[in-house]
Amino acid sequence: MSDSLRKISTISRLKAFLMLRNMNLMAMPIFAIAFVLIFKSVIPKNAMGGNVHPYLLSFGLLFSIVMGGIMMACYPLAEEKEKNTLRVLMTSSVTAREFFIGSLIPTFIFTMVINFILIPISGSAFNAAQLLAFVIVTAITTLTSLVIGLIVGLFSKTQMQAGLNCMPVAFILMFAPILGQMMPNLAKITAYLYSGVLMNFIYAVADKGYQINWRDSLVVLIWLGVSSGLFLLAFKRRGFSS
Amino acid sequence: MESLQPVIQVLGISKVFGKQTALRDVSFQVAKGEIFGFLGPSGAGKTTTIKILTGQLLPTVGQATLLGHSVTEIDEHIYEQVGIVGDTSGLYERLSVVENLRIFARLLNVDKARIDVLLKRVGLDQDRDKQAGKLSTGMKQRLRLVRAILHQPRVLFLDEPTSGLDPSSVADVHKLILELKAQGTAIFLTTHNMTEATQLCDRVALLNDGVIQEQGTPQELSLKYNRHRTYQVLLADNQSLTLPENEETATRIRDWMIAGEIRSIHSNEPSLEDIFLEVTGRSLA
Repeated sequence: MSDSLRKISTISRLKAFLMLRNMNLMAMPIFAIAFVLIFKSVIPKNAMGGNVHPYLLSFGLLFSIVMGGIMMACYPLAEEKEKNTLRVLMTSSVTAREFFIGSLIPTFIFTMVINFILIPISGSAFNAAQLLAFVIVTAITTLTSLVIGLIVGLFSKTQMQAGLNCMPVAFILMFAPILGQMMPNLAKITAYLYSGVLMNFIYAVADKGYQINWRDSLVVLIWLGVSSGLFLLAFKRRGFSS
Repeated sequence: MESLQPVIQVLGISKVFGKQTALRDVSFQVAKGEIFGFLGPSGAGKTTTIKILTGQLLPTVGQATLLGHSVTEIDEHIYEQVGIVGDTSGLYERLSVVENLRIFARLLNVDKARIDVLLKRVGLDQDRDKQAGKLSTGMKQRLRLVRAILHQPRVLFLDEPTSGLDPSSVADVHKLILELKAQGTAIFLTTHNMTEATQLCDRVALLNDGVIQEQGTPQELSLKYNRHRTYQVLLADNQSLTLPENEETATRIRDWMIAGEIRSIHSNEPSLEDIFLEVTGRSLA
C-alpha cells in the first residue's frame, strides 16, 4: 500500500469510528428513515392518487442527502477545528487532499447505504436500469452535499457555529423542491437545484420512467463542479486556521 | 556534514498580524541534542514562533530553516521527523488512549509495538483503554507527548509542556525530555517557568513583546547580570550573612576560614526570573 493510500485509509477508519460514536451525527440518517416510516403510517394509501411512494422516497432522500449529507460533512470538520485535532493531523504528514478524501469516504458510503435502505422502506421498487440511474443520481447529489458541507465547515470555527451555518443552506436546498411540488413557479427555479433534480428524478421514475436528459445532467454536474471549485478556493484562501 | 548544521536556524524573523507585531527580528539557532528554551510571558510570541517554525504560519519577514528546509516551503514529509506538543487539546476525546496512538502510528508508519513501550514508559499502560476525554490534565499531557515522540522525531517542539501539571507529572515530563535530549533529539521548549528552564535548557532566549531581549546559557546570563555580586555565608553559630564582593569581605572570609567558623559559603547569582525582570521590567507570571 502506498504512503498516500495508507494515510487515506487511516483517516477513513478514524472518521468512520468517530461518526459511529457521535449520536448527533447518527441522528440525521436515523431521522430520514424514521420520517419515512412515520409518514408512511400516517398518510392514507389512496392519497396523492395512490402515488405516495415517490413522495416518501424523495422526502427521505432529501433528508438523507441534503440535510444529513451537509451536516455529516460540516460538523466533523468544525469539531476537528474546535478541538485542534485538525492541526495535529495536518502536522502528522497528512496532506489536505488525503484528509478530505479520507474524511468523505465513510460519510459517502454511509449516506449511500441509507439511500438504498429508503427504497424498500418507502415501498418503492426499481428495475435494474432505474436502480443504476438511482445510484448515479444519488451518488452525485450526495457528493455535492458533502462538498457543500465541507465549505460550510471551513467557515465555522465551532460545532455550534457549524449548526447555525448549516441550517439555512440545508433548509433551502431541502424544502425548496418540496414546496416546488405545490408551486409551479417555484418548481421552474428548483429544477436548477441539484436537490430539485433529485426530487424530479424520483417522481419521474415512479411516473413514466426516467429518461436521462441534458438539462438535469448539466445541473447536477455543474453543482458538483462549482461546489468543488468553491471549496478548493475557500480552502486555499482560508486554510484550516480560520 | 549534516550533524554540524543547526537543526533549527532562524534569521531576522518578524510576524505582523494586522497592526500588531507579534515577532520582531527574531534570530537564534538550535543544534542536535540541544534543549533550547524560549522564555516569556503569555502573549510574548512563543506559540507564534512554533507555528512559523513548523510551517503552520508564514513569517512576514525573515528566513528560517527546519532540518535544512525553508519553513516557507515545508511539505508533509518533514513532519515524519518532527514532533509537536501544542498548548491545546488536540486529542480525539471519544477515542481511547491506545486508539489515539494507533491512528498516528499508522499515519507515521510506526511499529505498533512502540506504543506499548512508550505507554509503559510514561505510566499510561494501565489506562490504555480509557477514553482520552476522561483522562486527568497530567495524563492528557503525557499522552500528547507520547503521540509526538511515537516516530522518534529529530526535532521536538514543546509548547508549555508542564503548564497546569502537578509536581509529580512535571518531574515525569522533565525526565522524559532529558532522555530524548540524550538520544540526540533537538528540543525547542517554550515556557514561562524559569525554574523549569534552568533545570532543562542548554541555552535560553528571553522573549518579551515579540523581541528577544537576551540569549545564552543560563550560566552565561547569570554571570552577565550578576551586578551586585554578593556572597551568602553561614557561620558555625548559625548566623547567616549576605556580604558584598569587596576587599573587606575577602579579609573577613579568610579570617573565618582560618578560624574554622564557616559552615557554608556560596555566591548569589541572579535567577532567570530576576534576569527577566531586570531586562524587561516585567515578571513572567
